[in-house]
Amino acid sequence: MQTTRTIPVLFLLACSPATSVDISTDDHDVADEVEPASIAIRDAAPAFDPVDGTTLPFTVETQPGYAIHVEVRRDGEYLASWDGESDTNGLFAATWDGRHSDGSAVGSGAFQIVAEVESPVGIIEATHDVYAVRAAFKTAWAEDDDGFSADRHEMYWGADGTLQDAGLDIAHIDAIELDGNPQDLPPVTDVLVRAPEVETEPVAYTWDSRPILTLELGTETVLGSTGLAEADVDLELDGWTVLSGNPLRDGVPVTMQADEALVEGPGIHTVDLSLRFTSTDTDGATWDVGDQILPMRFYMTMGPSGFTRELDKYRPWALVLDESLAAVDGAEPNDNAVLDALVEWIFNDLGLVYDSEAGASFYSDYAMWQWDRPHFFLGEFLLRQNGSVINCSDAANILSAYANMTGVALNQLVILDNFDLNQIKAIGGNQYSNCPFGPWGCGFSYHAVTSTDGGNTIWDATLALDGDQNPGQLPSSELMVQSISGQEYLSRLVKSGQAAYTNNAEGTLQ
Amino acid sequence: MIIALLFTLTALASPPLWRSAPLTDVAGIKAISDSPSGQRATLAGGGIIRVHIADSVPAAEAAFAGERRTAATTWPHEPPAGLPGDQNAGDGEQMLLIRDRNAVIFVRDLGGDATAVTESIQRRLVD
Repeated sequence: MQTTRTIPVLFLLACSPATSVDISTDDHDVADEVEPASIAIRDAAPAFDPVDGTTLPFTVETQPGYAIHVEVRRDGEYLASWDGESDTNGLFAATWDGRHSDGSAVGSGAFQIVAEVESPVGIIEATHDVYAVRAAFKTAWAEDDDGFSADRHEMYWGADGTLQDAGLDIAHIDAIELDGNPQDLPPVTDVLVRAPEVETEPVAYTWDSRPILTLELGTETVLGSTGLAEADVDLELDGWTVLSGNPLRDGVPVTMQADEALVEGPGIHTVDLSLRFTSTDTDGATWDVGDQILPMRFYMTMGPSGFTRELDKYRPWALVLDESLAAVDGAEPNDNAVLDALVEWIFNDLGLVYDSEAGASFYSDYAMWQWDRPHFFLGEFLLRQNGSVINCSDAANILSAYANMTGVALNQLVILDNFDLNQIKAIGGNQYSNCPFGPWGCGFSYHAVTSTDGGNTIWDATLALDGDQNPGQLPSSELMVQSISGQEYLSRLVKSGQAAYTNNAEGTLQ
Repeated sequence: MIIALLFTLTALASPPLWRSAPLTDVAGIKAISDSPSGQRATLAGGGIIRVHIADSVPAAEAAFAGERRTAATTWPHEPPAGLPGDQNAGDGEQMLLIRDRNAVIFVRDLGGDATAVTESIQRRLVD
């Protein structure tokens, strides 16, 4: 008569838990006389995502030379199997790919790996419970907490004339799989003049923010359900803390926040966030279930727009931030350092050239010819619609607009009027002269500059001053107009004539 | 009665005011847009155009003075003879600012043909 009973079995190695061991014997007296047999399923994850390319490797550990049969079952139903023999170390390794033996997908849910060996004392068995899941996000939002630890700034799409809406998602995929393959979230758009339809939107934060992202799971999968209602799968991301939403459950958003500021000052932080899905076994070991990439581009500014006007177009334009923050990358996070970097970039790197024929403005107006109403055709400038020739009003508008959008409030001033010049080097030029318009053009009827404090401190991207003891004579020593006192600026710029700062104004945009 | 008659005769003798400047019909001009001070456009060969149609001749005189003050940082002391307009400033090549009745036209032409561009705009003025 054949009997079956469960007996204690010696486990010699630390391993992931084998859930049960059964020994079937013909005679319990025999079992007491032979070497005890053991079996365990080890190195097996508690959950895996068969669509994401992860599989379920596992090892059956028993005595050497035993015939082994392994099955995957769901609710007692046979799905897949392996047969073999334990090696000289008593091990037998196999991998389940989440499919039937015929290659067809089995879907999500709870499964049981059952391993049997035929030992001298009879058939012994170990089981391991595992979940096949499908974990992937289909939507992402960028958020803040009103500046407590994160301060997001909605950006303006210049060609659309629309503003980002922080309440809307920044990244979205229609389905978490395409042709059965897992999908990352879309790449960040490089077209920065209009809101992208498919690609991920860049986001802007104050540089010392710890950005907050909220993610929503996709629930329609090639496996059917996600399986996340039963299995405990967590989101992990290096350097970020999941504030809520772990373990993942259908319909429950996941919110996470960076542990610290992403940068040390204003600049652009581009990163592929590697979203890792993990499960934890009963021993506390963490297992990778799958992953997904969320491409992000963070524009880290000095703060909200420095413009005081309320219209959307006075918020930071995405394309402007892309340029200005690349220019100031590495600058100390203080207003003067950022403005200094912008002056250097505009003067040296933008390819702009001073209009040495007429000093005419190509991208600027003074609305209804009022000095206190400088007006900048920013959209035209971004396209270089009128070429690369500019004058001082253009340079002041460029610097002011880029600074304000980068988060540094910067106004414009007009120096009036009709004065002769010391030695200057105009933007785009390579030599000093006090007659930038030729022998009969040795002065300015006016000159536009920028200041944070009504003229006490000056920044000017139109020209470099002569920084030596005698600014009226060659040779000259280049002095970029970066954080220069208003008094020194005038003394170095003006050779003779009336020159005074007037019309401190913010300017308007188009 | 006599005063009214004189007023009418004076009005009839004055040329009509310009009502518009349809830049779309001017060759070599692109990217026409509105600005706080009127219209602006890009010269295809390199340059910028600004046109302002004032409500009256005196208003246009003020606009001419404003444009003369703010459009550029240097101007020739005396414009060369023969330039178009009731008032003008500039060298007629690189830059020209004119007032034609109540219209003010500013042309900065990197190609050095500012007078020809200005005159082509003048020809399109509509009264």
